[in-house]
Amino acid sequence: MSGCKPQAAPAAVMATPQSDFTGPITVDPITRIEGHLRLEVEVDNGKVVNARSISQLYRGLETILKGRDPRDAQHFTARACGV
Amino acid sequence: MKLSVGLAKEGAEKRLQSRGVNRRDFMKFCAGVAAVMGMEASFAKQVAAALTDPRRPSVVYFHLAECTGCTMSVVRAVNPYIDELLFDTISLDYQKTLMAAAGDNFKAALEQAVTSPYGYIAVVEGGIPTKDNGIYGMTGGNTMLEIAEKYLPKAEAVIAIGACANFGGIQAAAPNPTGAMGVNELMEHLGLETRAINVAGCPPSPYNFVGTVVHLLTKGMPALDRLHRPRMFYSETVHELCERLDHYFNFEFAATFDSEEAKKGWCLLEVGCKGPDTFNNCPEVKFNETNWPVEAGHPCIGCSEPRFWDQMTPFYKPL
Repeated sequence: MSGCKPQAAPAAVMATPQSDFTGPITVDPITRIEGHLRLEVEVDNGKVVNARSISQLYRGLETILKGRDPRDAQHFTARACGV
Repeated sequence: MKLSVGLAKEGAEKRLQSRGVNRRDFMKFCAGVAAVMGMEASFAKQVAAALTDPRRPSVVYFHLAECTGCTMSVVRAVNPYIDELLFDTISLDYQKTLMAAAGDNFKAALEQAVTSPYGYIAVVEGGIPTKDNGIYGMTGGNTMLEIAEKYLPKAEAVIAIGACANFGGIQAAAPNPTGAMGVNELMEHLGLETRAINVAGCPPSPYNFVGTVVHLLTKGMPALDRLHRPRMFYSETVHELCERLDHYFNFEFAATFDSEEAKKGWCLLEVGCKGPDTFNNCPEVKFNETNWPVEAGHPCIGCSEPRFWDQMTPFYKPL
């Protein structure tokens, strides 16, 4: 990296604030995405101990596709997500 | 896209100008909307007045069992200001794909919007799974069935955008594993009198959606056909409006997609075009003002008709 002078490290790096939060955090719905997503996070004394993302919509496109003309599949699968 | 919900401090024209849209461009757009609505050119002035009115009706946009393709169709309109204009005119208080808030804040925005003393217009994208008490579609801790039942009957007007909200859409195709229904079918099923305006298509043209909103703001409820689609957009078949219609009358058909006839742009009826059975204005309006399926060489799949996933399939089998 020419033209880049090495710089001294900052005197004191700020430590990440430690949270003592305990409990579940749920965000539902998640916005600015396609679909209906729910996030559940379990926090114990500031540490994430478990996290789940839950997809909340079942449409059964696979079931619907059974027995159809294979050339139609492109139109069905295109509607899995329109974004 | 820039959203300016709740910031109607300056005049609408000034806001447009600050985004590089001059009066001439704006009036051209309004004339376009007037033409699509089947109105005379002089109606453009009323379109302009409706879109720049300081009154800002509250709009809540529900995403149910859907793919967000209809949202994309509306916000990806080629003229960058169609969506801005629309969302600037209305107060879009609840739209999952576009809003910054998530989780509880998002749900609070909905509660605030639906308790507005001026009422609200509900826009629905997506079908409603009804089987097993609607367990197949949840959002914010409620089933989509509960949401539709709770918020749609209270709205001033309900616009169902896209095939799923109109007639159940792709998830309602046989064997309909989730018992999905369109808005009107659900309302009938629940014994409620609410009926939605069906802006049909998969996805619909953004002009048809904008035109419907403009009509609601200027002249009230548009005239609807028996399937609750606005007559101004869905009174003629794709076939009647098709630019390849002359080939049809001259018996000039493409037999396969790789034939010389297909390359020459002949009629696609024999490779499965559903244009004669489909009421829509795609050939006139075109998507993104650029193209539409038949012009691009693919037959119409009949997406503005009820149950087209069952009625119009196999898509490549001639009518």
